[in-house]
Amino acid sequence: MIRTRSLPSLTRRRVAQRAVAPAGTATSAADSLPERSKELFARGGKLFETRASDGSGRAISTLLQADGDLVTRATADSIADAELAARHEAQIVAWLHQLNRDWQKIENWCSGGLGAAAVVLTGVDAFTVASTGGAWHLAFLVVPAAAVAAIRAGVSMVARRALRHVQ
Amino acid sequence: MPRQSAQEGHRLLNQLFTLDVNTVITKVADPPVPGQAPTPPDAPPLVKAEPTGEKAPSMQVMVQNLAERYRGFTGGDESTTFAEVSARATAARKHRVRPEHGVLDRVAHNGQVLHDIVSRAGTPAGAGGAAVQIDESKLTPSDAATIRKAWELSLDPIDVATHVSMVGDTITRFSSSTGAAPADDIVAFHGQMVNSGLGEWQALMGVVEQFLATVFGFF
Repeated sequence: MIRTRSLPSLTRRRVAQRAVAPAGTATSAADSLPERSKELFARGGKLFETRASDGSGRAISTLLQADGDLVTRATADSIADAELAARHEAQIVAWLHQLNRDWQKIENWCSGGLGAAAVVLTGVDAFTVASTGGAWHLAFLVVPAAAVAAIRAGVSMVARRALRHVQ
Repeated sequence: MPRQSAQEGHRLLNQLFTLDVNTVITKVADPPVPGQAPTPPDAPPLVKAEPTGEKAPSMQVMVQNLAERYRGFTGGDESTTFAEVSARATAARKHRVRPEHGVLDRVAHNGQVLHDIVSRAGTPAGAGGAAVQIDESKLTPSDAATIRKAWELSLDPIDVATHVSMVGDTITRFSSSTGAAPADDIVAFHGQMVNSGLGEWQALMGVVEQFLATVFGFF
């Protein structure tokens, strides 16, 4: 019998994330990458607000813009509260880390997609050439690879000879 | 049209290659004393109250707020455009008729940039008292960032400001209404914010670099 485990749902994950957020940390409803990106680019920036957990109403707010510009507003006593200031900074850093991870994923997908497209195009090209009998066209694929190999071999040989002279 | 594109490109590059971190210390009004009129916060209307958590309104409302605040600061009526506000702030700065040099510089600069944005993506304030209008669908991300930052800073004096440029220059300015240096914890907090901004900047450059490497590597 094979037991399978379902993938965790996005909703459940979001609920869990909110549940572990520290008290007084403003959690944003805009969790997904498109929403975060919209907030950052279309709304001119993401506003972070952290309130003191003692209910005094003290707060620090920071506007983070896409190019890294920051505008922070706070009263002096809010900044003097080391715990509040640290929590505010941690909130911003955590959000940025998540955003960067998401962008990295997209970049990886793009890179993988382009690689796969290149392989498919090369395969189709090779198949077309082979089926039409003009196999000499494959030289276009082989010659650059052979040229790179020859250059590497040449550099390697020259380097080995140079090292022998040094020793 | 090419001139506008060149200006927009220059502004975008300038935004991308520089980092600004501003810390505004807000002041709150003294608690009211029975029998006396409530004490206003320091130097109204330049100072906002405690952060309220108010989420940003639409870009249209932000631009109208800015038009109203800038007009109130430099003088003018409903038909005063951002370009006129900018010219008045520049003249006041030049003739040293007002002490708020930082705010005057900001109004002069933002007034000109907002004038360009409104000219391109909206309708300037009319002679008949019609308020400034913008078409949000015509705004670029760079426009949105400019409007949002101008709205966020409004007319408040900036207490600690750091400007970092791509070539390595870093300028930090302190200002205070009392002439005293800001407290150590404020400077330390500002330093942490600069680090966060630099981290974001570095990450942004990394994304751009990786994207270009992927695209050009493929071709």
